[in-house]
Amino acid sequence: MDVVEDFKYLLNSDISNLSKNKQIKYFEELETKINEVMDNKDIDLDIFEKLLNVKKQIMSKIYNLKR
Amino acid sequence: MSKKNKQGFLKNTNKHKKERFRLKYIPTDKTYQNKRHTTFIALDACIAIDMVKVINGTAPIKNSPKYYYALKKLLDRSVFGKNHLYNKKGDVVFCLLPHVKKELSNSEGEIFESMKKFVENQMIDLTVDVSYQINFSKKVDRLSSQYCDLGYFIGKDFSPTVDSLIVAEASFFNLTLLSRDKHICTDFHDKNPERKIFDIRRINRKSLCNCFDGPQAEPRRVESLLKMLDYGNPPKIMNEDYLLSETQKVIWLINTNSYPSYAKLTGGVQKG
Repeated sequence: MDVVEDFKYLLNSDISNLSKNKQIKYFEELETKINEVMDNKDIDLDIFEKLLNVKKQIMSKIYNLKR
Repeated sequence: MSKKNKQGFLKNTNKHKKERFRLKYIPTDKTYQNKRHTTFIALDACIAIDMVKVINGTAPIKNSPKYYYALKKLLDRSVFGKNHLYNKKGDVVFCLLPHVKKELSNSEGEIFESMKKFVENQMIDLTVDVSYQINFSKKVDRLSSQYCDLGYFIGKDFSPTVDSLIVAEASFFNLTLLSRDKHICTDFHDKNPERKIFDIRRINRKSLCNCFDGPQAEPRRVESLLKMLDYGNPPKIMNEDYLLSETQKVIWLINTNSYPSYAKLTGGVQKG
């Protein structure tokens, strides 16, 4: 559960002072990190689902920045 | 007294004439009657996770017994079983949309370990052919922006979410999207919950009329999907032109009920 809260904190961090490209890079690296945590065979599916919701938000941010 | 024509049919509406003709001249083959039409369904990631929980036996059934019972019923009707065994009596095929695949994949494009077995054995991967990808992305983006213009699938910061892309992809392929997300399906707390589905169908009808013909698919919850399969009229035509040729072949084999039961799924998860 701490993992989920950590990623939520990183997702909602204020990075508006960064340029658009740097923001995209930030979220892409965050997505890579969350993928590493989720790619575990023994992960609890409830935690997996919570991480997936965070990942969806990250993907949405990247999509909107790239539009 | 009603007049009769030369064939002996009463001169009523055409409907009655067709019904009598059908009963008299079409052979009543029992196997033809018993075979149900195969319906292709796109799964949202949350539903796929719940299905894995049901298969593993770790589903919290006591929390919502009706929902998990309905999921179990749907799993039993799947054409592909647990170890990719072909179920001839099955009439439902689960499909993996491109954006749902991205959600369930790691950075190298491989499905996460916890979902791999279910996705590779029981789902068909709808990867778009490379030559159509740009065209497909443009159409999906256009659809998604039209949904967002009406205020649907928008996040907390009033920007479009990935849900709009998933609904757009399902609409493009004409697949019923199965989800339990209130942002995707009807939200019961809305004043007019059916309005969303009505608006989505209207946009789809206008934007996709050149892609295919026939009844349009829409996002549904599990109970609503089962009712549609048993009593309703599910969408029958899938828009598969943009898919890989191997996937199209698998779909054709399933539709003609000639999928070899011993063969491994060739149109399964594609790497990269």
